[in-house]
Amino acid sequence: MRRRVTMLYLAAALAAFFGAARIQPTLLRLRREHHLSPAEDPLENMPPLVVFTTVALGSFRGLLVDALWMRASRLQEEGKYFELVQLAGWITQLQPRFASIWAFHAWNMAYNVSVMLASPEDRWRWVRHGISLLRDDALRYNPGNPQIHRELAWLFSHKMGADMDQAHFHYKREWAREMTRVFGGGRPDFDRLIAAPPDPDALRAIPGVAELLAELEAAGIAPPYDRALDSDAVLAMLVARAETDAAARAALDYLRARRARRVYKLDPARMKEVDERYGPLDWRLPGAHAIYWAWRGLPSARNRFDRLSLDRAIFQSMADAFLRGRLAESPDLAAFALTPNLELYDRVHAAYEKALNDFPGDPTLPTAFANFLTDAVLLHYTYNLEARARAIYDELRARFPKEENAGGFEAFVVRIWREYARDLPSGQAAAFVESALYQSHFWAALGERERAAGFARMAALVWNRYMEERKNPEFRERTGLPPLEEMDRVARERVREMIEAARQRNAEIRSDPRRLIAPTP
Amino acid sequence: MSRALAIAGLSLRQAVRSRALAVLVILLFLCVTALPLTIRGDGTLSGQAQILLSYTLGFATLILTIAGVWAGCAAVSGEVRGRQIQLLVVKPIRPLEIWMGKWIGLMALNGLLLFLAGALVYGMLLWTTRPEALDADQRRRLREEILVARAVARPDESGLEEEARAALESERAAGRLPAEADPQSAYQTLLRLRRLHFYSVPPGGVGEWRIRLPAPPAPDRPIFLHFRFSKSAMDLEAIAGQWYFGSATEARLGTVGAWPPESPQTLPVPPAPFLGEREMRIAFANTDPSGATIFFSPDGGLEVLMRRGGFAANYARAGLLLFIQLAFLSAVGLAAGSLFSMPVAAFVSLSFVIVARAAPYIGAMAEQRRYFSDAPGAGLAATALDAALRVVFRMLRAALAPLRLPDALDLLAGGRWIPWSAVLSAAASHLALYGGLLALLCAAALRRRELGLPE
Amino acid sequence: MISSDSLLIEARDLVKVFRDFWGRPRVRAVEGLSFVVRRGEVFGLLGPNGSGKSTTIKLLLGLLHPTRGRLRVLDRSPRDIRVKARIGYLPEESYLYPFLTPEETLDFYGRLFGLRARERRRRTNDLLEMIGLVHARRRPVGDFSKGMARRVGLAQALINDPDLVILDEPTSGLDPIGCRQMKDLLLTLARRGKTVVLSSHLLADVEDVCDRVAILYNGRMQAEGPIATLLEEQHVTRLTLPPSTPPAAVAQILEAARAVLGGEPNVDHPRRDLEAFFLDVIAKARASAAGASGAAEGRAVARYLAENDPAKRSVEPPPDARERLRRLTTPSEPLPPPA
Repeated sequence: MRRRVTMLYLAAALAAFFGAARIQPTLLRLRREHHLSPAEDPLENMPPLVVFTTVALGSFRGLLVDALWMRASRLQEEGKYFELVQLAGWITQLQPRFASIWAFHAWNMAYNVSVMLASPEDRWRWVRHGISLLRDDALRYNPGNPQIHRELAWLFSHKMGADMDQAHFHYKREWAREMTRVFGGGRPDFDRLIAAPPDPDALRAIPGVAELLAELEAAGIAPPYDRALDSDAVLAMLVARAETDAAARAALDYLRARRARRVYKLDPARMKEVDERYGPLDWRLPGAHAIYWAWRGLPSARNRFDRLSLDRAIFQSMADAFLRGRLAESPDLAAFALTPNLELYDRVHAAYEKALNDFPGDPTLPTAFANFLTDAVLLHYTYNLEARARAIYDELRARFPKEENAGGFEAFVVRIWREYARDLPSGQAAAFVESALYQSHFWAALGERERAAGFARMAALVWNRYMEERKNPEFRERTGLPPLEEMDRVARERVREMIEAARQRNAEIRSDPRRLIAPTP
Repeated sequence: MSRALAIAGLSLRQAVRSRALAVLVILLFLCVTALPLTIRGDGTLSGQAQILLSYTLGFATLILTIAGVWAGCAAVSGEVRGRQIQLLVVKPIRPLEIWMGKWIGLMALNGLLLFLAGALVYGMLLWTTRPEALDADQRRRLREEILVARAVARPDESGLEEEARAALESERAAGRLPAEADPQSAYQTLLRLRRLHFYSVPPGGVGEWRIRLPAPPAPDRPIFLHFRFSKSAMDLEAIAGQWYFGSATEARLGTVGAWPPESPQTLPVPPAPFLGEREMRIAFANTDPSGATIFFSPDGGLEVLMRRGGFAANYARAGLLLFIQLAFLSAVGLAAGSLFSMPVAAFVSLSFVIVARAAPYIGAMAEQRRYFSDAPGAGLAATALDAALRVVFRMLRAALAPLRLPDALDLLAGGRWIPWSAVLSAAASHLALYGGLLALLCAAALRRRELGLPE
Repeated sequence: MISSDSLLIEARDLVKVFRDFWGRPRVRAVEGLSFVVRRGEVFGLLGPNGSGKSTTIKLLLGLLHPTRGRLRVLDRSPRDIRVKARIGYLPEESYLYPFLTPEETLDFYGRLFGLRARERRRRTNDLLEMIGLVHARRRPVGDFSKGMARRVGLAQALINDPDLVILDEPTSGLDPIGCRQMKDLLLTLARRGKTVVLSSHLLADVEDVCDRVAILYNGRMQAEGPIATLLEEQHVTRLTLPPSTPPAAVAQILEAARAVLGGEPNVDHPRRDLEAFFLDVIAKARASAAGASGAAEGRAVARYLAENDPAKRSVEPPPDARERLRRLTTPSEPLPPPA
């Protein structure tokens, strides 16, 4: 009797196994078709911990995740943040395929926790925890996942790039400091980074490097020499020597490329591609990184939503870079101003064109494009590029034949100026004050004093009005403009550079008149 | 008693001579040393210290709990299975003595291992926070906020009841109290309203509270204000305001700033104005231009923390609390092992441990009204299921409530003072009362049980 | 009537039923057992495996509780702690702690009897000497052979100098020398006035040392009394003649005897050996058990027996098989070799 029952159970178990085996290939195929897993076998290429928990815990994983998540919420509620990084790590790694879980925890740390803390340093640490969770862990488990790329780009463009956070200047400054340490400035030398020795052995093979490395070791920096970039003195020494010494140059390139890849997960070749396609970008600013990460996610975007959201992350960051994508800084970034990067106009324009073409019928794109064109008209005009401004205006009028755009170029400019003078959006404020100051110095350089004074008055008027509305110290700290004198200094410097460049070009043309007809670089 | 001690000695001897103890010691050592290296803190040293206290010690306690419960289960059921107990109960020893002996043996083992783990963690803590690894600011923060035992004081609410009674009288006198209204519930409502009022600060207004300090202030006893508030607007924008601190006679502007709602905040309180006085006054002026009212949570939304004693003694008291918890849980294991045979006993007692550990979550679940019925398309069945689940959670919560002990590790990591009274009351309830009840229950069961039954 | 204070054990109509998880009776291990053990007696419980000997002993020790009937040990309930203080018990198998040494074992049990440290030390030394394990006093019992462990078990049974010693299968696992020593020890205990209850299925044990035996089968008492009485056969007389006596001489002697006595000659009361007696008792009990207590066996066992009963397996067993079966159930004759 009992044996019969046992046999029955065994037969049922066998049947279940057989059935599961029959279904498994179909399941795997469906998983592939719906891109639930990149690899053939979902457990392939997973870290041992994940494989272990998946196999050992089975469906109890879900329960464990629930318990951990509840603990995390409770601790967060009580303001005990010290465990959160670890708990977020466990929760996400127990369900490594759920992009939304990664996104949630990164967002939670970068947004919810950071704003609970008072000091900018503490906040910055939590923003970094959020970025690191996505960049270092989530992408390792879900390479190419569009959602994770989008979230990562968002943290750069919005959390760090926009001015919603009280400490956004701190984030920008700290990020710019880090990037300066890695790339030496806003414009990395991509080709050198790409060509940098791939490993310590290749580096050592370059003549003179061995001696240099010995020097580093004598200074207490052990292989693989990563700390060389952290020591101000050593870094300064390397940079100074790199001017003349090929070995120092190679070592510096090696260290920089290594850190970019290992720590920031930035691939110089891809950076170059992004910069050529969407740049020139200032890589010290978060916007460049937002574009980089959104672009990296594009090849895996499989539906319209993914493509559009990644595209939007790119062209919004570009439009933002157009408005304030140049970093005018004092040494060591103690004070800095973000000013317009007019060079980007064509690229941003092309990006919008492409998006309008790729996503016909999207309601938000035309508005965003019209806003961009409006800003572009005004900026080109105030930066004394009137012809260009008129051309853009014509395009705006042709494309958006609205009544308020129809009254002619001057009337349009005055209207927008008046609007902005009344209620200047924080995103445009710095650009317009700076562009007015630029005008003032430009005309002053040409001797047109009255015109110069007029622009200076306008800048002061807008600055005062804008700051008047920001009496609340916090609001002022967050969205306020740099002191007018500081902005004035930046504008003066920019005019001086422009005049210097024009002078040089004139001199070149004088010495070689053929240049007049050669295309400008 | 000497017979019980003989049994306890026997258990100790057995543990020392078995491989399990060595394995356990190695496991504890690994856990204490390796865990802090693999756990990611928040990147600060004080966070690292808190991880050491709450995680490492917590994990060590968890290992000890499981081992203790397991050993408890095996202590009696193992002897039943190996039939040594048959030779034991024919000797002139009472079942109660056997049980107590086993328990004392387990407690001694648990205590020893906990002491080892605790000493190891303490050493790691000293090493992690060695002065040369810290800058002055971190050192101060650790000394004042984490490696310290701070007592908590909350605003004096004693005037509220009188106010509520007076309000009730005036309502009644004015004839605004309906005849059918129950005076008691009206009083309760009024009291609740007074309390809400007491803790809220309207825009442009000032809230003021008196707090009786746990000890007279002194320069070496820094005082901290912990607060957490909600605001009447639905955003998370910070609220600007000014804190005043003072004695009964003199108040001074302390801190001007802006703080986000719904998040715990800490401010150092300058001790100068009320040195030597046991009572301090704090006041908050809501100067935020947004016009939002703020509301401090009545349960710990406004508290003053003050250094009460050193960390080492607090650590020792936390250790005692942990020990009491361990001893109680091994008694549970022992009881399960006296009533059931092995796999069942382990299952029962480990389930108990898990449920007891989940008490905070069960409490949270019992608060909730919906579990399934708020899902889209949920029908009547989901509603019924929710109602049933809610009853289960509430019953579980009620059953677990008397078993709750102060979370020693949480208090320790927060630098909070653990009073001796908490340790003593835990010992009285969990060791004397519950332990005694379990002992009597199991002794009765052992007496009734026929230990010579064939397999 | 014997005075009650000389009765160390008094069992009347003891019944022990083992029940299964659901409380249904599974086995009736002891069925209406009555006996007494007197002070200073060596009392043997005799029976084949499964006859209820161990159950009876566990009832005496309080390890099992009687389902019905009255049981007094030392004039109290066997579960009384004062009774336990005066009993020494040697279980059938080693129930000792394997991680303790003999010395620690004896010390531990000595503490349970509340003996003082010095007294424990003295008795431990004496007992280790007695069981001949002084050389192994510091080796863990778990490493011991069965015989050595049994000797430690015996020593622990005597640590409290008990009035009543209960031994379950005392010689099992012992070599012939060990058996002899055990029997000598039992006789020594008896000489010193201790009361001993032992159970065994080895008849030789009982025959040499017991004053009185009870023979159990199927949980019932089959025979009880002093060994000498039990083995006497009053209705048989045997005349032993030298082997060389010619048959004619035998006939002559018998004739003469009849003539002299006017009946059969009575020369002596012959004695059977205990084994023959035992087997006879069991055979009788088995024959009657088929009717009375057959239901005592569990259903599973009954089914197992039924399935394995050759008589039921084939419809018509061959005649010589039937003959073998008959002989199997009457063990007084030696079995012929199988065909």
